[in-house]
Amino acid sequence: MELVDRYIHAVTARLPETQREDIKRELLSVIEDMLEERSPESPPTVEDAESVLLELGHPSELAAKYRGYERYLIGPALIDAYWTTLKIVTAAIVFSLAAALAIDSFRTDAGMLDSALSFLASLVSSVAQGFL
Amino acid sequence: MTDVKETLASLLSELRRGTIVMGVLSQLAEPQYGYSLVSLLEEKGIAVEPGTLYPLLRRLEKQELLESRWDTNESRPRKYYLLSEVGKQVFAELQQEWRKLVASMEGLMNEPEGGDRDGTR
Repeated sequence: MELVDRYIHAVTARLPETQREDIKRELLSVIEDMLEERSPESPPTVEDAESVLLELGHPSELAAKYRGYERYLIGPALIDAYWTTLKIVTAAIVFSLAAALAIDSFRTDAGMLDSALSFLASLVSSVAQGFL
Repeated sequence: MTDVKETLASLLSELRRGTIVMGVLSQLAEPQYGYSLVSLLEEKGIAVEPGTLYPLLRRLEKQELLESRWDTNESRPRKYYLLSEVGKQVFAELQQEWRKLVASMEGLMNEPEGGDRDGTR
């Protein structure tokens, strides 16, 4: 059934390649078992397939269970250190740029508005870099 | 105010999650395939979502507690799982630990209301 195939594809596409074939085969066989239980006599309807797939859950959740871990950019073990570092880096950037602005406004006669604008521009770009 | 039912439901699901591995191991002295295991556990009063069980079986296999083989003789190829030697050993130990845990918990539950806060039972 196309719906089942698409579901299995959606799950296995999120898994490491080495496990894909075996999980695909196993999923197909358990889904067929579940379908058979729902309508032992007649061939399964689309409604049966839908209810079976709903019972198995969202493909990305099922794939996560097969992987055995969630995917993070920054894991729970590092997130606190990440935030601390981020705060320090941001504070340092704001402080040093403000100092640069102050010196700049004494040193040149360029209008205050110009310096303030370039200060804002470098603030945005350096904070963005700070995140990385 | 927190919802009592919601809190209870999440605590219960945590409790179940902790015991499901033992439930699965207990039923795999004989080989079972995914769906037969779901039905077997359900029959015995342990409801497990299929979406939780199938990935769990693979994980236990990876941890070498279970062995698996594909049976292609039937109408539909099925993957059968069975306790490995390590699995049998681990399950026996788990069983002992579980009995101890139950006994200790029973002791706690049977204490008179409020426990022995004032030191006199």
